[in-house]
Amino acid sequence: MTARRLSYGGRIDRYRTITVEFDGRSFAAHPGDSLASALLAGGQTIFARSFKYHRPRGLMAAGVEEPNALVHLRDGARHEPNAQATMVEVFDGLKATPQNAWPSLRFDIGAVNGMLSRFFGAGFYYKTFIGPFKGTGFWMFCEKFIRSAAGMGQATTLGDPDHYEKINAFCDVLVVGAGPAGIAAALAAGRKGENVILVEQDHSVGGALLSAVPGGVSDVWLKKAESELRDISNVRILTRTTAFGAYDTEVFGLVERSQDHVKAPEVGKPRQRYWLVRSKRAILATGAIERPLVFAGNDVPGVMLASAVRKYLNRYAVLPGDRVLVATNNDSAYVAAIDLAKAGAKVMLCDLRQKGPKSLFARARAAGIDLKLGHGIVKAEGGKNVRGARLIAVDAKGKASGKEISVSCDLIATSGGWAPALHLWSQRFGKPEYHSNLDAFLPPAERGAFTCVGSLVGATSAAESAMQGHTAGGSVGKLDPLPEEDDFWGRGLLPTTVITRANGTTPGKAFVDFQHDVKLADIDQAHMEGYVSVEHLKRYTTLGMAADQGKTSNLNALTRMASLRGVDVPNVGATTFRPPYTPVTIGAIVGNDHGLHFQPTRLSTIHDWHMENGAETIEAGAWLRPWYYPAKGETLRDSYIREAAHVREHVGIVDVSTLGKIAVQGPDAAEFLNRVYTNGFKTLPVGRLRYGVMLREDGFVLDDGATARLGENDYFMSTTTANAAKVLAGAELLLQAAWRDLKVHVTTVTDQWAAIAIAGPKSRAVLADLTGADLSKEALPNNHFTNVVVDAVPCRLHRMSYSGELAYEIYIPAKSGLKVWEALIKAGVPYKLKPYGTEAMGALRIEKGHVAGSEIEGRTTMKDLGLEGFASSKKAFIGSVLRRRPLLEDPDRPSLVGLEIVGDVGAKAGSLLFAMNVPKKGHGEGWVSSATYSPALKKNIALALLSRGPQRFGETIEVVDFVGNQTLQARVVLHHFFDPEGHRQNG
Amino acid sequence: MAKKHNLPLRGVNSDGASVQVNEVEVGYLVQLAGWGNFADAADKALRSQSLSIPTDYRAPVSRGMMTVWRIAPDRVLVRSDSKLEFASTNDLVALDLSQARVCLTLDGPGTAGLLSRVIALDFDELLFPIGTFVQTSLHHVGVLVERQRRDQLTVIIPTTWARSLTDYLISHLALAV
Repeated sequence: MTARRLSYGGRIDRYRTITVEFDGRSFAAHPGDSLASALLAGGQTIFARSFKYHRPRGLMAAGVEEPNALVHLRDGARHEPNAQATMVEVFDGLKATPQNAWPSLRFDIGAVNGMLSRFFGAGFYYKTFIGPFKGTGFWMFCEKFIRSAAGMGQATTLGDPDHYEKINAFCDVLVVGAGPAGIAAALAAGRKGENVILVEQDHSVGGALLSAVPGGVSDVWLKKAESELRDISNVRILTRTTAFGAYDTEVFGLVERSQDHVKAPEVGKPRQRYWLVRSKRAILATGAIERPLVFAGNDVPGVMLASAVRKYLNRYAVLPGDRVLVATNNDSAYVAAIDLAKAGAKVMLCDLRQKGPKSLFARARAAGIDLKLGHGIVKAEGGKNVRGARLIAVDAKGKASGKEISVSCDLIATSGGWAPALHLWSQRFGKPEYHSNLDAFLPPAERGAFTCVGSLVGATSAAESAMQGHTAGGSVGKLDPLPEEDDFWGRGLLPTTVITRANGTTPGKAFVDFQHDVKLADIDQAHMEGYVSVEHLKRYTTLGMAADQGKTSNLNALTRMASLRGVDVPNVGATTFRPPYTPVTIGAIVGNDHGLHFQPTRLSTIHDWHMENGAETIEAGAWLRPWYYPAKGETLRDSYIREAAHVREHVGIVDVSTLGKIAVQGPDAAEFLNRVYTNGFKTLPVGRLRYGVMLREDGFVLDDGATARLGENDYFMSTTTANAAKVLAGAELLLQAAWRDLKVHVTTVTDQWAAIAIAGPKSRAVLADLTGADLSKEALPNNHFTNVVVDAVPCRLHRMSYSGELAYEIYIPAKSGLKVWEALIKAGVPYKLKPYGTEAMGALRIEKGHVAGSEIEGRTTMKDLGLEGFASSKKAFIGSVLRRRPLLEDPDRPSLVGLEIVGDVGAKAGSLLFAMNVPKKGHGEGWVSSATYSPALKKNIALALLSRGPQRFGETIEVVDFVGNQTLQARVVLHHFFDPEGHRQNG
Repeated sequence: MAKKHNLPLRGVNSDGASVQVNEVEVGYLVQLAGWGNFADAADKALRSQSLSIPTDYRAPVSRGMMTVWRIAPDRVLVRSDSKLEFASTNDLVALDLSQARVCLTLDGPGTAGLLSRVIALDFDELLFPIGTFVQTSLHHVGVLVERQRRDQLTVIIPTTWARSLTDYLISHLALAV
């Protein structure tokens, strides 16, 4: 292969020369070049090593279908693996390196795999690692070697420095593909006034027209059409953009590589943009991909697709070889051969067909091409470069016969017909239809809101493609004519793409899937082993998988499978196309939704104070809450023990704004609450609040919380932080579906109210000082509330306790939350008031034996949790029937107990419980749900669910943490460790 | 933690179009909700303030500084600059939500472009005319968006999500230094 840049032609900017680097070598390039064309012009023949056998691979294609030339791009944090050199636009300083080769691209030690290829055939993994070796040990041993020897590029583990974004767009017509068909469609629809988005993966519009000899009639057509398109304000042209997914209701995923063609994105610009487009209709003008021929050595560098050779020649002014052998089974390769000959190459064209179009033959001969009809290539000669080929005569059915002929060449250009790029259509609608005259699967021209035009549906020329597009766009305005051509691939195509010797063998490896090193022999072997389904074939051989998605291999594999099975191609079927059409970077999918914005964060209106005062925070669902406020040098344990002890001794405040708060309003509010809570609410007087438990329909505990009656028909329900949304959604469902007769509305007021719990023996004094209200036991007993004013902010003060202390919760209009918190801090100074975090709050509630999310975890009943007394026997409520299931009444069920841990080491939540002196196997007799060090008791304690728990008070059991390999002993006690009589909270 | 920004801020989206992000007072916000003949009951209550119930879910009813948004078949939201008294009855309940929402204004030629990056809606003026509103999701959080002018929209956000969503919006802008 002796590629060189021509001194004329091309669609590159010859006035500017830039430098790109590959494999440590510098190459001159021009704006408009692809990395592939620049390297090819500089004489680079090997671009990569193959996936499995590490064979040297050169360019096969010039576009998105390129399976071989995958390279690493850039370095450092911008390092990118598996970039197709054919799709990379050059820029000055572009740096690319080879992948999957060691120590170098030209000498790769992994190439030894090729000699062992008979052991690495189809199903190699399955066969090698199943059988004589028991277990997975052998596989685990081999895996790292296999993974390092095989595969593609390596991703960086450095953080991506670039910025990506997502955008939603809407249009009347989405046109995918800006070749003649797409351009004509967009023009017609745009003229009609429709809102059009035209998508093109290339940086320039034109599609196949860009592969024509520059300066021709099609260039005039293209220039005029593009100019008009860009002047239509309702047409948006997105170049460097791939439509990679088509989804229901005409939703499309696009990825725009908006800044990939520069060294680093401009400030403020996203490197890539993910478009989510909703379109009323879609016009697919995605073209077709040329099929390679399958023969021995068809992967030797220098064997390329004929259309690619023509594109390099006419678009990039690169003549890929001087002595060219063109092999084809159809007419389309003739134009490439003629262009090559006109560019000065010595061209031989072997056509598998005995007969063909006389006009093309005449044009070819006139260009000096040596035509060899009825011949195909049986083998390409060469190792790192094509040196020649062996031809063989084939009959009218494509079967080889006769003696082989050797020819010398440095480039082989093949065409095995074309495969329409129907991926988007198929993602949306499924299986396409096989057209035997074209030996290809095609979508219908119309289905639903989709119209397919151009080569995608087998248009015979650019002129016909443009006409189809014009019609699909609405036939508005005049369509300028494009010249008719006589090189339509479907005319007289011979559906033979595999060339073997007369005995059916190939004299060497003949590849079907170049990206995954799947050989013809692998398909034959899979067939011999009984594989008949094309989906199984795909998975057994890896054909058509991963980045490539079988763009150049699927059809050749299907036809081979059909041939082996002796059936027609439609009877073999096609594999399922799924998005994405081409790889999409994770960055584009993620957009801005990462780091802090992976999901939205919910913050109380007091949050800034916590941060300014050194709180460590913890995620609680979407909330970020103060976890603890460490003093200098304190650990979490030090802090929470200090904070909890301080509450017991003095007074503390904790931000509980995260509690779910629901306004329950309406004449039937009491009846509604009576149904959702297990205990009665109809008798709750105004001004009082009541703790309630609610169940799921299946009888398990759903949530708990206190509800205050603010007015006759006005209740304020609180839920746990974790279950707020679930409780609200459940209530809405009941009211809208089951209890439509109830006049009740539920509305979340979590955002309306900030809330602070004030706990400790001095809490009353602090609040009395602050509010001036009479908060005596008589004036405000437990489970009552009153309205107070704090620093001119009207608030509601609930007397209730989660900690077991004398405690209150103050509900504040949310935007005044910080003001009231600061007022409390100030008023609390004489009483040594301190803030405490969720860890101390947890320690306090465990001491008191209050259940929380660790106990209400979906598997526990009221009876399990010692809450049976809250279940009314006088009314029905959600879960009242199914909670009586025998299984849930089983006396052996684990039920809530306290554990006093023996020794100085605390238990871990999740540890399993066993009786003493029994084998520590299985799930034991229960588990630890919550554990803490109790500053009040000065010992490690835990809440646990233990089989027949209340009957085992006083028993010593073993607490086993299998994960942490820890076994402790504990004494079973009542779960109310602290002030079981409630003197403090009721005092 | 989401970053706290000192509003107003001005920046440009990736198309280079500028947007000013600001927070304005919500004022007073009351929800009226009811049953059965809610429309009549709400209309009656609203007429006492010279307002009426909107007939659809995109077009609010406004008078002076007061706006009524129909947010569900049996709910309306009333925003006003002074406190409005609505008494709960057998057909209707009133709920103060003034503290539950934060109002952002987005102003400038890049506003629609900015919102199209975070909300799956068509902000074309023909489909989202001046004076109309939608209820939608912004980064998974329910918000109410209203168009005041061609290049000015307000986004009403639940209070406890406001910091995070404001930061999320601003993260789509290159800020003016």
